[in-house]
Parts: sequence; C-alpha cells; structure tokens
Amino acid sequence: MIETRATVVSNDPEGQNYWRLRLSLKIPLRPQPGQFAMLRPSDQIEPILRRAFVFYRVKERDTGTDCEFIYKIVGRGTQQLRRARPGDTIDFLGPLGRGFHFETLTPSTGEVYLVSGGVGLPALYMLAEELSLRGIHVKLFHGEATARPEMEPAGLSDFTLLLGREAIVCTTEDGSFGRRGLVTEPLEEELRQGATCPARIFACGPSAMLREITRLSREFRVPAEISVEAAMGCGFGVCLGCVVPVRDCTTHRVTFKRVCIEGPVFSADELAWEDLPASAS
Amino acid sequence: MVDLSVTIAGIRFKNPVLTASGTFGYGVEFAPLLDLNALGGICTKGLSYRPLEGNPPPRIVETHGGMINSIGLQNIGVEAFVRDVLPQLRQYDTRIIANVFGFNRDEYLDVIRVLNDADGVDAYELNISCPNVSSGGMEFGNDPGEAARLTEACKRLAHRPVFVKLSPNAPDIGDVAVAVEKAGADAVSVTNTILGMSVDIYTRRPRLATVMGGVSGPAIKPIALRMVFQVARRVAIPVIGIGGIATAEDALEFLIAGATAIQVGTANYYDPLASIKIIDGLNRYCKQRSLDSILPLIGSIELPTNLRNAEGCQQPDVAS
Repeated sequence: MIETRATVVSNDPEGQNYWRLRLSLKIPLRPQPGQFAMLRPSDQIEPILRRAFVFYRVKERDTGTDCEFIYKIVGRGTQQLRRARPGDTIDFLGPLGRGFHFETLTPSTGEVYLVSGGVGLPALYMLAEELSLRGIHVKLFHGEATARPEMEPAGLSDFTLLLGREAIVCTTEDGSFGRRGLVTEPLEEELRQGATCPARIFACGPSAMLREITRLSREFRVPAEISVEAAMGCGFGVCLGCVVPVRDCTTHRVTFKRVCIEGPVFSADELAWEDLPASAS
Repeated sequence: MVDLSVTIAGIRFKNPVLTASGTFGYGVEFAPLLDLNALGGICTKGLSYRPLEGNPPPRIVETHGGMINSIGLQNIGVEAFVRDVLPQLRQYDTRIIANVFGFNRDEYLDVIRVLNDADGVDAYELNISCPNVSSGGMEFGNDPGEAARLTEACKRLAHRPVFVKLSPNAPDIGDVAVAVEKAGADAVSVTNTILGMSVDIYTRRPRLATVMGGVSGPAIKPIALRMVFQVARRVAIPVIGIGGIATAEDALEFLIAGATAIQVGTANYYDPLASIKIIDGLNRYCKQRSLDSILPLIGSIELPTNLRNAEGCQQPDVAS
C-alpha cells in the first residue's frame, strides 16, 4: 500500500458514460488482478472521500508505473474525476484489497469463464491477461442494460484483441448490441450444454447478476469468485464502512468482512446473499 | 524549536494532535503510511468487553463536507485488543488512549478491569455518546445524572485518568460536562458525531440500514467548535476538541476556542497523513509568530467586550 500523487497522462471519454484514465506514478507497482486504488483529484475538496477504482491495466517502466482505469460517471466523485486534465495530480492510495485467486489454474485444469455486467468489465481485464499468458483458455460473457447508440462497451475491444472475438459473448437487455437478454442466460446455456465444465468462474457486476452466478455455481458445481462493490470511507480497513455479511462454511455463523481488506474478491459460496441489501453489488 | 507539548491529567502529550476513536482503527493499520511516533496520541477503536459485529450494511453514506456512519462499534473486544494489538502499539512513542464502551454500567467496568491489568495504556476515554447503538452509549451521554454516575463508577475502578467523550445530541452538552467533571472526570472530549440521516430519492429508502447515523467531517466543524467553546467556559478540566478537524487552521481554531488538544477523525480516511500535516502546520504557525510553546494559544480567544463575561451557553444577543 503506497500513498502518493500520480500525474494524469490522459483522461478521455470511451463509449457511453465511460472514461479511460491513464496515470503515471514515479514508483514501481505490481497490483494483482482484481485489486483497486483509492483516487481523488489532488485539488478536490468536495466530495471529500476518495473513490475506489479497480486497476484495468498496469505497465511498469524504468522510472515508475503507468496505470489505466476505466470508470463510469455515476455521481459527484466520478463527475469530478472526469474533469482531471493531463498534468493534473491525483491522490493515489494502492494497491488495495485481495484480488482473484488463479495461481492453481493451468491449461490442463480447463477453461475459465469470466462474467461481467456493465462497469464490472474493467475488473476482469488484468485477470484475462494473466490467464492468457499462462496459456489458459478464457471465455468472456459480458452484459449491459443497453448500448444505444450502438457501440461496443468500454474496454471490449481490448478483450477482443486479447481473447479473440469467438471467445466473447455479449448481451444487452434491449438487444441494442449483441444478444438480447441477461448475460447469465448464455452462461447457463453454456453450462448446461457444455461438454466440459469450466474450471472456474470469475465475475464482477451488479448484485442481481452475482446472485445468479452464485446459484449457477452451486447448481453446476463450478467454483466461482466474485468481486463485490461497496461504498468505502477509507479503502484500507479502518472505517469498517464497507462490510458484507459472509457465512462460515463449517459453523454457518454469519459475520461481517471488509470489502476493502478481506475482499473485494470473495468466494461466491462465502457471501450471505440473503443478508445483503438488494442494492449492494 | 517549538514546544508543542500539552499536559492533560498529568500525562504529557508531545503535541496536541491525537487521532479520534473509530477513525484510526487500532492505530497499527496506519503504520505503513505514517510515523506513529510523531502523533501526540492515538485513541483506539471503541472497545467492548465482548467482540461486536456491529450494524448491518450499508453503514456509510457520503454527504456534503462529510459522511454519515452507522458502524455500530464493531470491534475485536478488549481481551483480543490487549493480547494482539497492545504489544504492537507499545513499540511506538505516543500516548495510547483506550476508548471504552459498554451496553450497561457493568460492561464499562468489565472493560476497564481488563485494561487496568495491561501495560501500555495511558488513559481511558469513556464513549457515552455513540449514536449507533440501540442501548448504552447515548443513554448515558444525554443525561447529566446518568453520565455522572457512570463516570464516578469508572473513576473508582480505573487505574488511569478517565476522559469522557460527550454527546452533541444531549439537550445541553455543557450540563453533561459539568456533571462528569463533578463526578471526577479528568478531561472531556467534545464532541462525538451528530445524529443525521440520508434518503435515496429513487428508492425512497433510507441510505443507511439503521436509518440514522452519526454525521462527521468538515460539515460539523462549526457546531463542534461552538460546543468546545461553550464547554471550556463551564469546566475547569481540559477539553479535547473533535469535529471536522482536517487542517492546522481547523486545529488552531479549536485550541484558541479553549481546547487543550484535538482529535483528527474523518480526515484520516481521505488524507491518511492529515494528522502529520496538522502537526507540521502548528509548528509553522508558532514559528511565524515567534511562539516557543503552543500553550499561550489555548483558550486565547478574544471576545467582543460586551460578551466577555457571558456564560458559554448563553446565546449572544445579536440581531438576525
């Protein structure tokens, strides 16, 4: 965990409501896929809290690190971030949290499914890169509510370059891009019809999607890891504001775990969805 | 070299900048980010006798200039604190103030009993003002008689000085301050979070699972500052100022209004180095004014002539 100031290299719109932020840091940084950073423009007073953004792409240089984030404009924090210009500084705290667990996966353990909804997509890119590097076959299922005007979701072209078009299934609820419906529908079909089950599912997206993936993971006995989102005060474990209920698999006792420290990636089995508010994702 | 040290209840703090309970974890979490030795003191997360899971999520919501929380005093319990955390904290040259909480008087006493047997704690801060639990805290904090009885019982048992963290939600915080002073409190911390709420206009639901929570951050600074000023004029024991302090300028306002020390709270979240920057800023301010000590600033507020003799809690007679 490093607290520093990063310089904005670029901050450009990407698709509908999405922006791509490139930051330059003067320090070496090696975040794991699924980890995040707390960011806030340095001259910003309001809103006061930093916002959590998952690392999209990271490149180490001789003199430091370049980091990319893809974010969606959802509220005051992201509105403010959108105004950052090249040369501006960003208060940076990271890398934070626990990312995806993929170390035991090899080409022989089988195919891996990535499932994303909306702004959950960027959380999976570093993981897709890492798995591809290891020679593991990756299939991406991505869903959006709508893509009007018809355009590719932010970051999808990067996934296409990395995985190939045939490894990507896209859905929109209104049919404006890809197949009409929910992303979990082609996922379920695949699980039902597939000759072999995937070794693992990794997912990030809205809570309704994650709940459905949890159900499918249980039904088809495929281990699933999901990255959850929560409002955070600090991002490094002290405010206790971002907790989610989790169930101990042996005692069945429900306790709270911090998304910023014990997460944001949890085993789907672990989360006590019935104790989670419907709006949490 | 400016001497920033202050003394409260016989304890010398190297500077008047403490970190507020509930916003600094158990202290050790910040060790990778800042030099804990530089701090005047650390107030621990509120400790109960048994571990507490706290309130269900969502627990925090951001508001203009601050946030509202309903954490509900989630903590590892005093025994785990003494066993697992205190040995780490002892390595640092800073004062440790254990924040103590119970759902009834006996539970406060149980926590103090465990802490009495442990090394490395300098003082206790009784949390009688948490708005986020259904019983305990607030009931003591809102009633001068209850607050005094609890303080007296804790003082009788405590081997260390007892500070009492007051509630801004009491009908008159000054009355509670006077009551706990008479009951033997060594200092008062003013103030805890202010009860507030937030509503999602799209779902028409409260944004916090507990509906209401404690407002903190720069948004509450003027209110907390007013309370520190009022309390400092009614009690002789030291007042520790808390409420939206994020900069050295904020800290100076509290010291001038009558606080002997201050605590940094919500600012720790969005600027983990806030307390260090405040200490640096206090040093600079004193140097610029050729002050070799911070002490002359404490309570040095200059009031208009017609209000100099006014009781702290009286409303100034101003046209509005």
